[in-house]
This record gives sequence, C-alpha cells and structure tokens, in this order.
Amino acid sequence: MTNLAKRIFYKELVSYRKRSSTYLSPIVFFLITIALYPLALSNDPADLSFLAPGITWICVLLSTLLSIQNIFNEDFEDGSLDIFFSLRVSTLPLVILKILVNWIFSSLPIIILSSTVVFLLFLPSEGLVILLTSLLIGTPVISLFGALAGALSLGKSSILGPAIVLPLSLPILILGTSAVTSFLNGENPSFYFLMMLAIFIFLLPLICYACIGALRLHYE
Amino acid sequence: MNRAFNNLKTFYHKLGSSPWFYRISGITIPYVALLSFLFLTIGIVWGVFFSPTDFKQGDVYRIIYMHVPAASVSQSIYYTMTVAAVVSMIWRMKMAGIFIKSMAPIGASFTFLALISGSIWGQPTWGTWWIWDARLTSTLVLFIFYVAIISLYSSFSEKKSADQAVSILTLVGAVNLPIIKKSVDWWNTLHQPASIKFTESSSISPEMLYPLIISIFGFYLVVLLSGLMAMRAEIAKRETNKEWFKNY
Amino acid sequence: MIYDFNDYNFHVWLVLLITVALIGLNLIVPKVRLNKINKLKKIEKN
Repeated sequence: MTNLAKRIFYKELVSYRKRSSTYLSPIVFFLITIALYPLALSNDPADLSFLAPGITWICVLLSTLLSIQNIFNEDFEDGSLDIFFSLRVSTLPLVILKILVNWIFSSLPIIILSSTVVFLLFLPSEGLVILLTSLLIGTPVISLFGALAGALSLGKSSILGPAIVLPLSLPILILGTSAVTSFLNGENPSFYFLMMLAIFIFLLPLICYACIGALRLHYE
Repeated sequence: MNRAFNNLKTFYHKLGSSPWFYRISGITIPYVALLSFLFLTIGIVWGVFFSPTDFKQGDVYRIIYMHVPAASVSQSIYYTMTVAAVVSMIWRMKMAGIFIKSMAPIGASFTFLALISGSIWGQPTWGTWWIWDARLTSTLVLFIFYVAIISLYSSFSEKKSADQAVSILTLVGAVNLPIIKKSVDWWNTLHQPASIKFTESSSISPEMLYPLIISIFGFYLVVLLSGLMAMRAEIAKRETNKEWFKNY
Repeated sequence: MIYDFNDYNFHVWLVLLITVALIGLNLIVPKVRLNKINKLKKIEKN
C-alpha cells in the first residue's frame, strides 16, 4: 500500500516536472492579475496597502483555480484512471496524493511569489508572515474544492469549475483576508487560522470521498 | 407500530416507482392547483390590498407578502433537495434524481424572486438597490448554488451519472452552506455599514401577520404544484420509450 | 389601501408582476414539456 502510494507520488512529481505549462501558467496569471489592480484602481501606496490582503487572496484563488480544474484530466484521457478504478485497491490515496502534488506545484509557488506584494502592493511588511500563513492554511481547502469541481466536470471543458469552487471558497476568502487585516489593526489573528484549519480538517475526508464518487461516475 | 412501519416502507417503495408517481401525481395535481391558487390569491390579495398600512414604511412594506414567502421557500427547497441527494446516493433511487433535477430550477427562480423583491424593497427603504449585507450575500450564494447544480446537470448526457453528480454537488453544498452563512454573518458584523440599520419589527400586528402566513402557505403549495408538474414532465421525458408510458 | 397612488406603490406592483410571472413560468414550462411529449406519443400510436 505505502509502496503504491510512493509510486503514485513519484509519477505525479515527474509528470508535473515535464509539463511545465501546468505550473508556469498559474504563476504568470498571478503576476499579471496583481499588476492589473494598481493599473485599474490607483497607484497610491496608501490605497494599495489597504487593499493588498484582499487583492492577493483573490489573485491566489483565481490562479489556483486555473490548474486544479484539470487535475484528473490527463489521467482520464490516457486511461490510467481507468486502470486504477479497475484495480481492487482503495482510490483514496490516489486522490489525496494527486491533490497534494498539484498543491505543491501550483499553489506553493504562488504562495512564495505572493511575498512580492510587500513591494508591489505596499503591504506592510509585518503583515507578510500572517498573509503567507493564511495562504498556507487556506489554499489546501481551495485545492480540495477545485479537485471536486475537476472530478465532477471531468472531460468537459466548461466554466462549471469556477461556478462550483468560488462560492464554496467564500469562507476561506473571508477568514484569510480578515486574518491579515485584523493583524494589521493590532489584533491576534490566531482565531482565523484555527477556523481555517478546522474547516480543512472537517472537509478533507468529505471532499475526498465526494471526489472518488464523482470520478467513479465516469466508469459506470 | 410494526404495521405502520410496513406501510411507511411500502409507501417509500412506491415513491421510488415512476409509473406509480406519474399516475398519483396526475390525480392529485388538480386538487393541489386549486388549493395553491386559493391560498396564494387570498394571501396576496389580502396582504397587498386590504391589510393596514405600516406607519413607518408606508405601503411599500406590502412587498413582504411576496418577499418573505419566496425567501422561506428558496431555503426549504434546498433542504428537500439535500434529503433527496442522500436518498439518491445511498439507495440509487431514480425518483430522487428526478426530484433534484426538477426542483433545482424552481429553487433558482424563487431565490431569484427573493433577491429581486428584496432589492426592489430596499430601494425606497434604504435608498439603495443592493447592500452587501449578510442575508443578501448568502441568498446570492444560494442562487449561485442552484445555477451551478442546473448547469452541472446539463453538462452530462447520461441521466444516471448526471443524477449522481448533482447529488454529490448538492450534498457538498448542503454541508458548506452553514459554514458560508456563518462566515458571511460574521464578516458582516466586521464591516457593518453604519448608515443603514435593520429595524426588525419584533411584533407584527395580526392584521398583517395572517395574510403573510396564508401567503407563505400558498407559496409552499405552488412549489409543490410546480414540483409535481416538473417531475411528471421529467418522468415522461426519461421513460418515453418504456412500455407503461406508451400504454398510459 | 393601495389605491391612492403614492410614490412607492410602483415597487409593490413591480414585485407582484415579477412574482406572478415567475410562478406562471414555473407552471407553464413543465406543462408545455409534458404536452409536447404526449403529442409525440399520440402521433406514434396512430
């Protein structure tokens, strides 16, 4: 079992490394959207630093959405998902590992990159650690929702993904941005982190099984 | 006790059979139509034309007789869809899938009605068509959920997998809706707009309350009616080539 | 009474109109769908 999990993990790592577009396009998307906000709103540092947590969170949310939706597509098209479902093994580790590797390749670079908002959007530098922590806790939940949307709309390229993911992600967006703004206002942000963590732990098994159920629909 | 349970069980099994449902709904629809027409007209006509004017808001408060029932119905429909989703996932009952498929557009339209009537009500009383208040926001999210369910259903060509996919989404939505609602409520207390205050009239006079209750009842009946009709149409569509439907 | 036309009655009428339209739509659409199928069935039978 652990052997199989390890193999899936390495296979995923290799396939992501070879398809650089899957992890490069969210990065490019993130940088462009960040650059759009000063152009569209204002280049006044005072305005931007006030809006920075919200802008960063929205950009992260949208760029994560870009890659997570296609998480199962390649395995579906080349038939490896087919083989996995015909094997008599639990599909839970497959789903969890795929989400994990997708998160490492698409969300993690964006989280690291989002530290640039300190000078791009003039986020007060003491708020950066809080912003990064909130992103680290919050993005896995968005990945979960994205994986579910990807599993439900498998093989159909449509705008279904955002319609499913974005309303579900509202609590994370609210908690994540509130953590940063409340810290900048001199409050303790640990409540928001705990809430996000609680949501993640609560949803992890639920969404994973929902994903499996959704994937299985394509093999009935 | 045992007999009652058995009756319940046979009723449940009958509920799962589409020919039975098609026949029974055909018989009950005229009665439901009559009742819902009666309650709806009495409730709304009484409320809109004959109930006393609110001394604070004037006549515009009469929107309550459409707005509150619509808001109540829009949430209840999602609850019933959640129950159907559980049934559909555990027992693979095809009628549950038909139920979700038929109710989703009805739920969407009543949520839309709640949103738009609230907005039209808000314009004269608060001075704006829309404010980012907790209830409005979570109703908007509910509307997006309905739309997502409808569009997910239409993206599948195979009915069986469409039913299952929609059940999964409905359940995930049902689990998340309280979280969304709580977080939006709590977000709203952070960003409370100071100028607009909601004065919840705690004691509503009976002359205003009775038509409201009748109107709410009428809305539930009309939802039942359109649900029955939509399910009948869906059954007919899915089972056009079945022997029982050809001979019906 | 609503008959004396003040400024706000327009809003009530508008909501009433939308309500009736939406309820009507919810009743007419399934009716039309079912009728269409039944018509096809009749044609097939003959």
